[in-house]
Amino acid sequence: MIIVNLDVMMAKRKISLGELADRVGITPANLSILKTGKAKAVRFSTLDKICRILDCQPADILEYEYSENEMED
Amino acid sequence: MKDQTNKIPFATVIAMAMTILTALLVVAMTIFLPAILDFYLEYVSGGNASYISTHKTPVLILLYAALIPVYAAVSGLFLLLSNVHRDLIFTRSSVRLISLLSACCYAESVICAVLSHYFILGAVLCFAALLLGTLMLVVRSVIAQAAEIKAENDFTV
Repeated sequence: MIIVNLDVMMAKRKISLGELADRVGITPANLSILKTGKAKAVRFSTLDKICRILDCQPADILEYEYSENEMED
Repeated sequence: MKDQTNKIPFATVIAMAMTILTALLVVAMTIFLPAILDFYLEYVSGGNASYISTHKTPVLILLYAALIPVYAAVSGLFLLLSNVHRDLIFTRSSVRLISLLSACCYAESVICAVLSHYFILGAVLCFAALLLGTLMLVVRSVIAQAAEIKAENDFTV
């Protein structure tokens, strides 16, 4: 399962959800979906913009954790 | 991007109008069914009183039973159209409503099969209802798949 650590990075760079959403070009609702781990997929273009604005690597935001139940194929 | 709640497509307006008209017709049928049946039985039997008296009650019960799936189908159709109007087409509730429509068609075909014992028209209606029920099942599969694709797309950031 993929864990999103966006709030950690946002706190480090001291940027709010609304401002980040505005600069990335997605709605705050969509960014909130990503932050709370409800997203099913992320576009590379979105990930690219987030990493550029937060000045970080995808590994700083995304983390893989082994989980027992294989929900998705 | 979603500015469609103000503009109602012409097709949806027509569908709504037809549904309301069908609902009114069904209510009228419920009220006037005994009279219509009297007239039809007299016409068919040429005034044969024993034929009319033996056939009237079972056929009347069957016809009223046949109206129940119609009521359920018309309400389901109306709810489906209101979903379309609110831009909630590819959702689980729409899929359930289409399943309801399909079940109503199959129930209607069973009742028409029994009705064909009295009138041969029942066999024709039975076949038509079977076909319509199967068509509804196909549409349901399509909408269900579309709903899944939409759900995945909605959660793509």
